[in-house]
Amino acid sequence: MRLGNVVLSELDKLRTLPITVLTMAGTITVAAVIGAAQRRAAAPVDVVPYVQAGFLLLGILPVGNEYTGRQFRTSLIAVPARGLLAVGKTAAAVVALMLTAVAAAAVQYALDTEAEGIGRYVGMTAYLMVIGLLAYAIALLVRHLVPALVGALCLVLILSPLLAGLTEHARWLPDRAAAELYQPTDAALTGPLVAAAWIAVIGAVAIRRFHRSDG
Amino acid sequence: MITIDQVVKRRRSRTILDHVGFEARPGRVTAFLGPNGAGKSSTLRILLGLDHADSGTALFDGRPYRSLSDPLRTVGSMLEGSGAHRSRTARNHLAWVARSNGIPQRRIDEVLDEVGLTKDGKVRVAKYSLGMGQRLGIAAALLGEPEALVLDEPVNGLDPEGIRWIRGLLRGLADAGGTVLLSSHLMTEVADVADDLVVIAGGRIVTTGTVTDVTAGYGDLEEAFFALTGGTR
Repeated sequence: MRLGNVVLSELDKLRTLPITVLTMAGTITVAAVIGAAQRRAAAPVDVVPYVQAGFLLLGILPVGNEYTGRQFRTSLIAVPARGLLAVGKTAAAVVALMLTAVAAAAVQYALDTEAEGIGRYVGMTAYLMVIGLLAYAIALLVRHLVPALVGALCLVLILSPLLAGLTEHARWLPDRAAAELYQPTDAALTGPLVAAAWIAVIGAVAIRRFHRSDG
Repeated sequence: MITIDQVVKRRRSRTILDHVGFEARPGRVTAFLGPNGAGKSSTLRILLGLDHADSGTALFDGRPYRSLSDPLRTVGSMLEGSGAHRSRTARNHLAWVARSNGIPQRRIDEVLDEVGLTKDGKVRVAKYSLGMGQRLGIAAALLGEPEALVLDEPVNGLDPEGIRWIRGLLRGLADAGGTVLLSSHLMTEVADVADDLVVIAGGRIVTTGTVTDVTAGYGDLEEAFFALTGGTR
Protein backbone atom coordinates (compact mmCIF):
# COMPACT_ATOMS: atom_id res chain seq x y z
CA MET A 1 0.00 0.00 0.00
CA ARG A 2 1.18 3.47 -0.72
CA LEU A 3 1.15 6.17 1.94
CA GLY A 4 0.25 8.73 -0.73
CA ASN A 5 -3.00 6.91 -1.51
CA VAL A 6 -3.87 6.66 2.16
CA VAL A 7 -3.26 10.39 2.73
CA LEU A 8 -5.32 11.31 -0.36
CA SER A 9 -8.14 9.06 0.77
CA GLU A 10 -8.09 10.61 4.27
CA LEU A 11 -8.21 14.08 2.67
CA ASP A 12 -11.18 12.90 0.57
CA LYS A 13 -12.92 11.86 3.78
CA LEU A 14 -12.45 15.32 5.29
CA ARG A 15 -13.37 17.19 2.11
CA THR A 16 -16.62 15.33 1.48
CA LEU A 17 -17.97 15.57 5.01
CA PRO A 18 -20.10 18.71 5.37
CA ILE A 19 -19.23 19.28 9.04
CA THR A 20 -15.47 19.51 8.37
CA VAL A 21 -15.92 22.04 5.60
CA LEU A 22 -18.37 24.04 7.71
CA THR A 23 -15.97 24.07 10.66
CA MET A 24 -13.12 25.32 8.48
CA ALA A 25 -15.25 28.00 6.82
CA GLY A 26 -16.86 29.02 10.12
CA THR A 27 -13.52 29.40 11.88
CA ILE A 28 -12.08 31.55 9.09
CA THR A 29 -15.25 33.66 9.04
CA VAL A 30 -15.01 34.29 12.80
CA ALA A 31 -11.38 35.34 12.35
CA ALA A 32 -12.45 37.78 9.61
CA VAL A 33 -15.29 39.25 11.67
CA ILE A 34 -13.05 39.78 14.71
CA GLY A 35 -10.38 41.26 12.45
CA ALA A 36 -12.86 43.74 11.00
CA ALA A 37 -14.19 44.65 14.47
CA GLN A 38 -10.64 45.15 15.67
CA ARG A 39 -10.15 48.08 13.32
CA ARG A 40 -12.67 50.08 15.32
CA ALA A 41 -11.62 48.86 18.75
CA ALA A 42 -9.64 51.16 21.03
CA ALA A 43 -7.39 48.42 22.33
CA PRO A 44 -6.07 45.45 20.31
CA VAL A 45 -8.27 42.36 20.52
CA ASP A 46 -6.78 38.90 20.85
CA VAL A 47 -8.54 36.75 18.26
CA VAL A 48 -7.19 33.43 19.52
CA PRO A 49 -9.80 32.78 22.25
CA TYR A 50 -12.53 33.27 19.67
CA VAL A 51 -11.23 30.88 17.04
CA GLN A 52 -9.55 28.18 19.10
CA ALA A 53 -12.81 26.28 19.67
CA GLY A 54 -12.98 25.87 15.87
CA PHE A 55 -9.49 24.32 15.88
CA LEU A 56 -10.39 22.01 18.74
CA LEU A 57 -13.39 20.77 16.78
CA LEU A 58 -11.41 20.50 13.54
CA GLY A 59 -8.76 18.43 15.34
CA ILE A 60 -11.35 16.05 16.71
CA LEU A 61 -13.40 15.52 13.54
CA PRO A 62 -10.98 13.32 11.54
CA VAL A 63 -11.02 10.63 14.24
CA GLY A 64 -14.43 11.39 15.76
CA ASN A 65 -16.21 10.87 12.46
CA GLU A 66 -14.81 7.38 12.17
CA TYR A 67 -16.70 6.38 15.29
CA THR A 68 -20.06 8.01 14.60
CA GLY A 69 -21.43 4.94 12.86
CA ARG A 70 -19.43 2.11 11.37
CA GLN A 71 -17.02 3.94 9.10
CA PHE A 72 -13.99 2.92 11.15
CA ARG A 73 -14.55 -0.70 10.17
CA THR A 74 -14.52 0.29 6.50
CA SER A 75 -11.29 2.22 7.09
CA LEU A 76 -9.59 -0.79 8.69
CA ILE A 77 -10.75 -3.10 5.91
CA ALA A 78 -9.43 -0.71 3.27
CA VAL A 79 -6.18 -0.02 5.13
CA PRO A 80 -5.54 -2.93 7.53
CA ALA A 81 -2.00 -1.77 8.36
CA ARG A 82 -2.94 0.34 11.35
CA GLY A 83 0.33 2.24 11.58
CA LEU A 84 -0.08 3.33 7.96
CA LEU A 85 -3.69 4.35 8.61
CA ALA A 86 -2.67 6.39 11.67
CA VAL A 87 0.12 8.15 9.74
CA GLY A 88 -2.17 8.90 6.78
CA LYS A 89 -4.91 10.22 8.99
CA THR A 90 -2.52 12.39 10.98
CA ALA A 91 -1.04 13.84 7.79
CA ALA A 92 -4.51 14.73 6.49
CA ALA A 93 -5.44 16.34 9.83
CA VAL A 94 -2.24 18.42 9.74
CA VAL A 95 -3.10 19.62 6.21
CA ALA A 96 -6.65 20.64 7.22
CA LEU A 97 -5.43 22.38 10.39
CA MET A 98 -2.62 24.15 8.56
CA LEU A 99 -4.88 25.45 5.77
CA THR A 100 -7.36 26.80 8.32
CA ALA A 101 -4.71 28.28 10.63
CA VAL A 102 -2.89 30.00 7.76
CA ALA A 103 -6.17 31.39 6.38
CA ALA A 104 -7.32 32.62 9.80
CA ALA A 105 -4.00 34.30 10.54
CA ALA A 106 -3.75 35.76 7.01
CA VAL A 107 -7.20 37.33 7.31
CA GLN A 108 -6.16 38.84 10.64
CA TYR A 109 -2.92 40.16 9.24
CA ALA A 110 -4.63 41.69 6.22
CA LEU A 111 -7.14 43.51 8.41
CA ASP A 112 -4.59 44.68 10.98
CA THR A 113 -3.70 48.24 10.01
CA GLU A 114 -1.11 48.53 12.74
CA ALA A 115 0.62 45.21 12.23
CA GLU A 116 4.11 45.50 13.64
CA GLY A 117 5.41 42.51 11.76
CA ILE A 118 4.44 39.16 10.48
CA GLY A 119 6.13 37.35 13.38
CA ARG A 120 3.15 37.40 15.71
CA TYR A 121 0.92 35.99 12.99
CA VAL A 122 3.30 33.15 12.23
CA GLY A 123 3.29 32.40 15.96
CA MET A 124 -0.50 32.52 16.01
CA THR A 125 -0.68 30.05 13.10
CA ALA A 126 1.65 27.70 14.94
CA TYR A 127 -0.34 28.01 18.19
CA LEU A 128 -3.66 27.24 16.49
CA MET A 129 -2.15 24.19 14.78
CA VAL A 130 -0.77 22.94 18.10
CA ILE A 131 -4.21 23.35 19.72
CA GLY A 132 -5.78 21.41 16.83
CA LEU A 133 -3.18 18.65 17.09
CA LEU A 134 -3.73 18.41 20.83
CA ALA A 135 -7.46 17.86 20.18
CA TYR A 136 -6.57 15.33 17.46
CA ALA A 137 -4.39 13.35 19.89
CA ILE A 138 -7.14 13.42 22.53
CA ALA A 139 -9.67 12.15 19.97
CA LEU A 140 -7.33 9.34 18.90
CA LEU A 141 -7.03 8.32 22.54
CA VAL A 142 -10.72 8.63 23.49
CA ARG A 143 -12.10 7.39 20.13
CA HIS A 144 -15.50 8.97 20.47
CA LEU A 145 -16.56 12.34 19.12
CA VAL A 146 -18.54 13.78 22.01
CA PRO A 147 -16.32 12.74 24.95
CA ALA A 148 -13.23 13.94 23.04
CA LEU A 149 -14.87 17.28 22.28
CA VAL A 150 -16.07 17.78 25.85
CA GLY A 151 -12.64 16.80 27.21
CA ALA A 152 -10.70 19.12 24.90
CA LEU A 153 -13.07 22.07 25.40
CA CYS A 154 -13.02 21.63 29.19
CA LEU A 155 -9.25 21.48 29.25
CA VAL A 156 -8.63 24.55 27.11
CA LEU A 157 -11.62 26.77 27.86
CA ILE A 158 -12.40 25.98 31.52
CA LEU A 159 -9.65 24.10 33.35
CA SER A 160 -6.78 26.12 31.94
CA PRO A 161 -8.13 29.64 32.76
CA LEU A 162 -9.33 28.38 36.14
CA LEU A 163 -5.97 26.92 37.13
CA ALA A 164 -4.14 29.95 35.76
CA GLY A 165 -5.93 32.06 38.38
CA LEU A 166 -4.91 29.68 41.15
CA THR A 167 -1.35 28.68 40.45
CA GLU A 168 1.52 29.74 38.27
CA HIS A 169 2.16 26.06 37.53
CA ALA A 170 -0.74 26.28 35.07
CA ARG A 171 1.87 27.36 32.53
CA TRP A 172 2.75 23.66 32.17
CA LEU A 173 -0.69 22.93 30.71
CA PRO A 174 -0.44 22.24 26.95
CA ASP A 175 -2.43 25.26 25.76
CA ARG A 176 -0.73 27.71 28.17
CA ALA A 177 2.68 26.37 27.14
CA ALA A 178 1.80 26.62 23.45
CA ALA A 179 0.56 30.19 23.89
CA GLU A 180 4.21 31.24 24.24
CA LEU A 181 4.35 30.72 20.48
CA TYR A 182 2.56 34.01 19.90
CA GLN A 183 2.70 35.83 23.22
CA PRO A 184 5.82 37.77 24.15
CA THR A 185 7.94 35.81 26.62
CA ASP A 186 11.53 35.48 27.81
CA ALA A 187 11.82 31.70 27.50
CA ALA A 188 10.54 31.35 23.95
CA LEU A 189 11.52 27.72 23.50
CA THR A 190 10.31 26.01 26.68
CA GLY A 191 6.59 26.51 26.03
CA PRO A 192 6.46 24.99 22.55
CA LEU A 193 8.58 22.06 23.75
CA VAL A 194 6.25 21.42 26.68
CA ALA A 195 3.22 21.52 24.35
CA ALA A 196 4.95 19.18 21.88
CA ALA A 197 5.73 16.78 24.72
CA TRP A 198 2.05 16.71 25.75
CA ILE A 199 0.96 15.91 22.21
CA ALA A 200 3.69 13.28 21.81
CA VAL A 201 2.75 11.49 25.04
CA ILE A 202 -1.02 11.52 24.41
CA GLY A 203 -0.42 10.54 20.77
CA ALA A 204 1.94 7.68 21.68
CA VAL A 205 -0.53 6.15 24.16
CA ALA A 206 -3.33 6.60 21.61
CA ILE A 207 -1.41 4.94 18.76
CA ARG A 208 -0.43 2.03 21.00
CA ARG A 209 -4.11 1.51 21.79
CA PHE A 210 -5.05 1.99 18.12
CA HIS A 211 -2.61 -0.77 17.18
CA ARG A 212 -3.65 -3.35 19.72
CA SER A 213 -7.37 -3.06 20.08
CA ASP A 214 -9.91 -5.04 18.11
CA GLY A 215 -11.56 -2.97 15.40
CA MET B 1 -8.75 -20.04 -1.41
CA ILE B 2 -9.71 -19.05 2.14
CA THR B 3 -8.24 -21.23 4.89
CA ILE B 4 -9.28 -20.87 8.50
CA ASP B 5 -7.39 -23.12 10.87
CA GLN B 6 -7.81 -23.76 14.60
CA VAL B 7 -8.99 -20.24 15.39
CA VAL B 8 -9.63 -19.57 19.07
CA LYS B 9 -11.05 -16.30 20.37
CA ARG B 10 -11.80 -15.54 24.00
CA ARG B 11 -13.61 -12.56 25.44
CA ARG B 12 -12.79 -12.32 29.13
CA SER B 13 -13.30 -15.87 30.39
CA ARG B 14 -15.70 -16.90 27.64
CA THR B 15 -14.50 -18.85 24.60
CA ILE B 16 -16.48 -17.51 21.67
CA LEU B 17 -14.58 -19.41 18.96
CA ASP B 18 -13.32 -22.86 19.83
CA HIS B 19 -10.80 -24.18 17.29
CA VAL B 20 -12.79 -23.03 14.28
CA GLY B 21 -11.47 -24.31 10.97
CA PHE B 22 -12.78 -24.65 7.41
CA GLU B 23 -11.98 -23.82 3.79
CA ALA B 24 -13.72 -21.83 1.09
CA ARG B 25 -12.53 -22.90 -2.34
CA PRO B 26 -12.26 -21.02 -5.64
CA GLY B 27 -15.12 -21.51 -8.08
CA ARG B 28 -17.53 -22.30 -5.28
CA VAL B 29 -20.00 -20.47 -3.08
CA THR B 30 -19.46 -21.44 0.56
CA ALA B 31 -22.25 -20.63 3.00
CA PHE B 32 -21.31 -20.17 6.65
CA LEU B 33 -24.44 -21.00 8.59
CA GLY B 34 -25.42 -20.78 12.21
CA PRO B 35 -27.88 -19.21 14.60
CA ASN B 36 -27.34 -15.65 15.83
CA GLY B 37 -24.46 -15.50 18.30
CA ALA B 38 -22.90 -18.76 17.07
CA GLY B 39 -19.62 -17.05 16.09
CA LYS B 40 -20.09 -16.28 12.37
CA SER B 41 -19.34 -12.57 12.57
CA SER B 42 -16.51 -13.12 15.06
CA THR B 43 -14.87 -15.54 12.62
CA LEU B 44 -15.27 -13.15 9.68
CA ARG B 45 -13.90 -10.21 11.73
CA ILE B 46 -10.75 -12.22 12.47
CA LEU B 47 -10.51 -13.30 8.82
CA LEU B 48 -10.62 -9.62 7.77
CA GLY B 49 -8.01 -8.52 10.30
CA LEU B 50 -10.41 -6.43 12.39
CA ASP B 51 -10.00 -8.55 15.53
CA HIS B 52 -7.07 -10.59 16.79
CA ALA B 53 -7.39 -14.33 17.27
CA ASP B 54 -5.96 -15.74 20.50
CA SER B 55 -4.55 -18.57 18.41
CA GLY B 56 -4.95 -20.10 14.96
CA THR B 57 -4.76 -18.61 11.48
CA ALA B 58 -7.15 -17.19 8.90
CA LEU B 59 -5.54 -16.83 5.47
CA PHE B 60 -6.23 -15.80 1.87
CA ASP B 61 -4.04 -17.92 -0.40
CA GLY B 62 -1.70 -18.40 2.53
CA ARG B 63 -1.53 -14.77 3.60
CA PRO B 64 -3.24 -12.98 6.49
CA TYR B 65 -5.52 -10.12 5.44
CA ARG B 66 -3.38 -7.52 7.20
CA SER B 67 -0.35 -8.41 5.08
CA LEU B 68 -2.14 -7.95 1.72
CA SER B 69 -1.06 -4.86 -0.19
CA ASP B 70 -4.10 -2.99 -1.51
CA PRO B 71 -6.33 -5.69 0.05
CA LEU B 72 -9.49 -4.53 -1.73
CA ARG B 73 -8.00 -5.74 -5.00
CA THR B 74 -7.77 -9.27 -3.56
CA VAL B 75 -10.71 -9.50 -1.17
CA GLY B 76 -14.02 -7.69 -1.29
CA SER B 77 -16.01 -7.72 1.92
CA MET B 78 -19.08 -6.45 3.66
CA LEU B 79 -19.99 -6.72 7.33
CA GLU B 80 -23.38 -5.47 8.53
CA GLY B 81 -24.56 -2.78 6.16
CA SER B 82 -22.81 -0.07 4.20
CA GLY B 83 -20.09 0.95 6.67
CA ALA B 84 -20.45 4.49 5.30
CA HIS B 85 -20.70 7.74 7.26
CA ARG B 86 -24.32 8.91 7.25
CA SER B 87 -23.69 12.43 6.06
CA ARG B 88 -21.58 11.40 3.06
CA THR B 89 -23.02 10.57 -0.34
CA ALA B 90 -22.64 7.02 -1.68
CA ARG B 91 -20.41 8.30 -4.46
CA ASN B 92 -18.11 10.13 -2.04
CA HIS B 93 -17.95 7.09 0.20
CA LEU B 94 -16.89 4.87 -2.69
CA ALA B 95 -14.41 7.56 -3.81
CA TRP B 96 -12.32 7.52 -0.63
CA VAL B 97 -12.46 3.73 -0.39
CA ALA B 98 -11.21 3.43 -3.99
CA ARG B 99 -8.52 6.06 -3.47
CA SER B 100 -7.04 4.29 -0.44
CA ASN B 101 -6.28 1.21 -2.56
CA GLY B 102 -5.29 3.03 -5.75
CA ILE B 103 -8.43 1.82 -7.55
CA PRO B 104 -9.34 3.98 -10.59
CA GLN B 105 -12.29 6.34 -9.97
CA ARG B 106 -14.15 5.02 -13.03
CA ARG B 107 -14.92 1.91 -11.00
CA ILE B 108 -17.34 4.00 -8.90
CA ASP B 109 -19.79 4.38 -11.81
CA GLU B 110 -19.35 0.74 -12.72
CA VAL B 111 -20.14 -0.65 -9.27
CA LEU B 112 -23.02 1.78 -8.68
CA ASP B 113 -24.49 0.51 -11.93
CA GLU B 114 -23.83 -3.10 -10.98
CA VAL B 115 -25.73 -2.80 -7.68
CA GLY B 116 -28.50 -0.61 -9.12
CA LEU B 117 -27.70 2.62 -7.25
CA THR B 118 -26.70 4.82 -10.20
CA LYS B 119 -29.45 7.38 -9.68
CA ASP B 120 -28.93 7.43 -5.89
CA GLY B 121 -25.17 7.97 -6.01
CA LYS B 122 -25.44 11.61 -4.94
CA VAL B 123 -27.88 10.93 -2.10
CA ARG B 124 -26.58 11.04 1.47
CA VAL B 125 -26.35 7.62 3.07
CA ALA B 126 -28.61 8.79 5.96
CA LYS B 127 -31.49 8.72 3.49
CA TYR B 128 -30.81 5.16 2.37
CA SER B 129 -33.12 2.27 3.25
CA LEU B 130 -31.66 -0.88 4.81
CA GLY B 131 -31.64 -2.59 1.42
CA MET B 132 -29.92 0.35 -0.29
CA GLY B 133 -27.26 0.40 2.45
CA GLN B 134 -26.73 -3.29 1.82
CA ARG B 135 -26.31 -2.63 -1.91
CA LEU B 136 -23.81 0.14 -1.17
CA GLY B 137 -21.82 -2.24 1.04
CA ILE B 138 -21.72 -4.74 -1.83
CA ALA B 139 -20.69 -1.97 -4.25
CA ALA B 140 -17.70 -1.18 -2.02
CA ALA B 141 -16.83 -4.89 -1.90
CA LEU B 142 -16.81 -5.07 -5.71
CA LEU B 143 -14.70 -1.90 -6.25
CA GLY B 144 -11.34 -3.65 -6.52
CA GLU B 145 -12.58 -6.46 -8.78
CA PRO B 146 -11.46 -8.96 -6.12
CA GLU B 147 -11.04 -12.68 -6.63
CA ALA B 148 -12.51 -13.43 -3.19
CA LEU B 149 -15.70 -12.10 -1.65
CA VAL B 150 -16.57 -12.29 2.06
CA LEU B 151 -20.09 -11.17 2.96
CA ASP B 152 -21.70 -11.19 6.39
CA GLU B 153 -25.48 -11.68 6.15
CA PRO B 154 -25.70 -10.18 2.66
CA VAL B 155 -29.42 -10.89 2.21
CA ASN B 156 -30.40 -8.96 5.37
CA GLY B 157 -32.82 -6.18 4.52
CA LEU B 158 -33.02 -7.07 0.84
CA ASP B 159 -36.42 -7.49 -0.78
CA PRO B 160 -37.17 -10.69 -2.76
CA GLU B 161 -35.93 -9.05 -5.96
CA GLY B 162 -32.71 -8.05 -4.15
CA ILE B 163 -32.19 -11.57 -2.83
CA ARG B 164 -32.62 -12.95 -6.33
CA TRP B 165 -30.15 -10.37 -7.63
CA ILE B 166 -27.49 -11.18 -5.06
CA ARG B 167 -27.80 -14.89 -5.72
CA GLY B 168 -27.13 -14.25 -9.38
CA LEU B 169 -24.18 -12.00 -8.55
CA LEU B 170 -22.54 -14.55 -6.23
CA ARG B 171 -23.13 -17.41 -8.66
CA GLY B 172 -21.59 -15.39 -11.45
CA LEU B 173 -18.49 -14.56 -9.41
CA ALA B 174 -17.97 -18.18 -8.36
CA ASP B 175 -18.52 -19.45 -11.91
CA ALA B 176 -15.82 -17.03 -13.05
CA GLY B 177 -13.40 -18.76 -10.66
CA GLY B 178 -13.85 -16.52 -7.62
CA THR B 179 -14.02 -17.64 -4.01
CA VAL B 180 -17.28 -16.63 -2.33
CA LEU B 181 -17.88 -16.94 1.40
CA LEU B 182 -21.15 -15.68 2.86
CA SER B 183 -22.65 -16.03 6.28
CA SER B 184 -26.32 -16.33 7.09
CA HIS B 185 -28.66 -17.35 9.86
CA LEU B 186 -31.35 -17.98 7.23
CA MET B 187 -30.50 -21.34 5.70
CA THR B 188 -33.35 -21.37 3.21
CA GLU B 189 -32.14 -18.16 1.59
CA VAL B 190 -28.69 -19.48 0.79
CA ALA B 191 -29.55 -23.11 0.06
CA ASP B 192 -30.13 -22.45 -3.64
CA VAL B 193 -26.89 -20.61 -4.25
CA ALA B 194 -24.41 -22.44 -1.98
CA ASP B 195 -22.18 -25.29 -3.19
CA ASP B 196 -20.57 -25.96 0.19
CA LEU B 197 -21.91 -25.48 3.69
CA VAL B 198 -20.11 -24.83 6.95
CA VAL B 199 -22.34 -24.98 10.03
CA ILE B 200 -21.29 -23.35 13.31
CA ALA B 201 -23.04 -23.51 16.68
CA GLY B 202 -21.84 -22.28 20.05
CA GLY B 203 -18.44 -21.29 18.65
CA ARG B 204 -17.69 -24.72 17.17
CA ILE B 205 -17.93 -26.03 13.64
CA VAL B 206 -20.52 -28.81 13.73
CA THR B 207 -20.35 -29.92 10.11
CA THR B 208 -18.93 -29.06 6.71
CA GLY B 209 -19.57 -30.45 3.25
CA THR B 210 -21.62 -30.04 0.11
CA VAL B 211 -25.32 -29.32 0.44
CA THR B 212 -26.01 -33.00 -0.38
CA ASP B 213 -23.53 -34.22 2.27
CA VAL B 214 -24.94 -32.02 5.00
CA THR B 215 -28.58 -32.78 4.34
CA ALA B 216 -28.07 -36.55 3.98
CA GLY B 217 -30.25 -38.34 6.50
CA TYR B 218 -32.49 -35.33 7.06
CA GLY B 219 -35.70 -34.34 5.33
CA ASP B 220 -34.36 -31.02 4.13
CA LEU B 221 -31.71 -28.39 4.91
CA GLU B 222 -33.87 -26.74 7.52
CA GLU B 223 -34.28 -29.99 9.43
CA ALA B 224 -30.55 -30.67 9.15
CA PHE B 225 -29.77 -27.15 10.37
CA PHE B 226 -31.88 -27.40 13.50
CA ALA B 227 -30.68 -30.90 14.29
CA LEU B 228 -27.02 -29.87 13.92
CA THR B 229 -27.24 -26.57 15.79
CA GLY B 230 -29.34 -27.99 18.59
CA GLY B 231 -32.21 -25.58 17.98
CA THR B 232 -35.86 -26.44 18.24
CA ARG B 233 -38.37 -26.02 15.49
